[in-house]
Amino acid sequence: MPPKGKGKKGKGKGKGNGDSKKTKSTVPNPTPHLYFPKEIICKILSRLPVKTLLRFSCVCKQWRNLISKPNFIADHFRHSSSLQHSGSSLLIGSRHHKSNNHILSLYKPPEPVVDLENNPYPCFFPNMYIVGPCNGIACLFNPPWGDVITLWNPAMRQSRMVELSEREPIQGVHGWVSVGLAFDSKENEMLILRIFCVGLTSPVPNHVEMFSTKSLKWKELKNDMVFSIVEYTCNVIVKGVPYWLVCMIDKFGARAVCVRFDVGKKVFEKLPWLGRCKQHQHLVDLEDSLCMLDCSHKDNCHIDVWVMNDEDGWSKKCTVGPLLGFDRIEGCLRNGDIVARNENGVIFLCDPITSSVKAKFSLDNSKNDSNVIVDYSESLFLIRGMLPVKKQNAQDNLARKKLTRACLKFIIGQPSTISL
Amino acid sequence: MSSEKLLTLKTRDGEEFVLEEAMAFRSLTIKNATSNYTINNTPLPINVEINTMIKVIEYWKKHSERGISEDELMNFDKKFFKLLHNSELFDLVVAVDYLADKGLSNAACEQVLDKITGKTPQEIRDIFNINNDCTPTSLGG
Repeated sequence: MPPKGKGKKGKGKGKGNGDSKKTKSTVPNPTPHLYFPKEIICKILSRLPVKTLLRFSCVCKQWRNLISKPNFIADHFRHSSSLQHSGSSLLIGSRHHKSNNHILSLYKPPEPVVDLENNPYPCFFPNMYIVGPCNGIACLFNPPWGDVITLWNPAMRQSRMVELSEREPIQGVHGWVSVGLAFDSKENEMLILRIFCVGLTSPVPNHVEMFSTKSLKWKELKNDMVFSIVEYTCNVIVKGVPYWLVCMIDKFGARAVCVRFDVGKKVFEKLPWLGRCKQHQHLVDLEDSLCMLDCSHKDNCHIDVWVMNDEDGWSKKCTVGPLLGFDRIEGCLRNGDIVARNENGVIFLCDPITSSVKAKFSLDNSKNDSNVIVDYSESLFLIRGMLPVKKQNAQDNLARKKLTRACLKFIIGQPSTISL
Repeated sequence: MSSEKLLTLKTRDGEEFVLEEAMAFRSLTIKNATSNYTINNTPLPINVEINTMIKVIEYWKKHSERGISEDELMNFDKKFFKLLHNSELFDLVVAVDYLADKGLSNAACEQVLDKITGKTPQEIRDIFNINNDCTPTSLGG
């Protein structure tokens, strides 16, 4: 609340003389002292996009310091990710149709899709998976062993690679690694989970390790729950909590179960599930709740939306459709827009209530089938050790070409000298 | 309408005025204050100056009008904010934050956002009357 005439925290602001800002007469002061309490500055700045904020960080020291405070960053993210915020963005991962390089793109309707020049993921690796984003940070990694972990804030254009722990998956026991991302708002830290997955019939629980962006260390987590994961990533993250669709064997046989990672207690919890695992079911974050889209309707153009409630379990929320003319339903965004794809690879965002098309785009440079689309909101959140992402420069590509040539020569038995 | 409860308010600069309670209760601050306040005829003091309060009341009056369409409201808002000088707008933002009227607060903030989006840092400093205390070497991203 603005106090009476006190120059509150206005260090370099105004003329700093602390007197009431207007004379008591009704004649307007010719050079008014503009007095803006810190709370109002916060309120206004927290609604600006990251790019603008970074530009304004040089307005004065107070603003620059403000932008890096955890409370401000949290407030800013709340605004940026609020469902009323006009138009969410999409982060898209795809592959170039000629070179097979990874392409990361941003789509913010109504502007066209923008391919990001600064790709933090090393181009050497043929596979790249995306998990998240969570709190504005996406985690890129290399399947099947969940390595080459790169934490990336697209809005801030900064990233860092995360060194793995010394523990390695055991041949014959672990088949692959599933990566999950979580955000602990109490501790203001991001958590990366690596689950070394055992086979379906194995009675042994998965080995789980967790990286904290606060301590910058890996820690082995105690896990007694036996379940089998088939994906390289968690299925969805809702409000900083990751969920996996897993298979559990009990006296009834193999059942599909939904499992959640409790960020506070650092353990996995079982959630009630709907029964048999069907194809074309997507776990999604819908309006900050865990929901499931069941696209297995007989007529292929209606979607049943189920919502999960801690007390009552799963209940059917509504049916969306008819959605006509699409080859495949990809999922939905946080605000409910359905993401669908037609046979030509054009991607559509549809209003869930009217089923009308709100926006559409195609990825001109990329292969049709190879893309991942995730709901993305900007944040200022940075992790210690993050550095600006350099442009994927020609040197990187040249080095890769040389290496490939050298390998080929090796394969056909020719001598080669590698100089990168 | 003639039996509307009236409230007497006193601004920071000593001016008193009367307002319909229903309208005044758009401000959560006023609403909460009156619930703790003994009902007599002493005016309720509010930490806003009369010039700013006049603008707030003008906005409240328009937005309380019965049967007004969305379009008319939008046009009113446009004109209303257009006529404000920067200093008047900022006073309004501060006052409305104090009064805790979410609707007007958001609208006023949006106006400030519009004013500052696309401006250079120096233009921002001019608008807010801020001294540049950043050295070139301390500039970030």
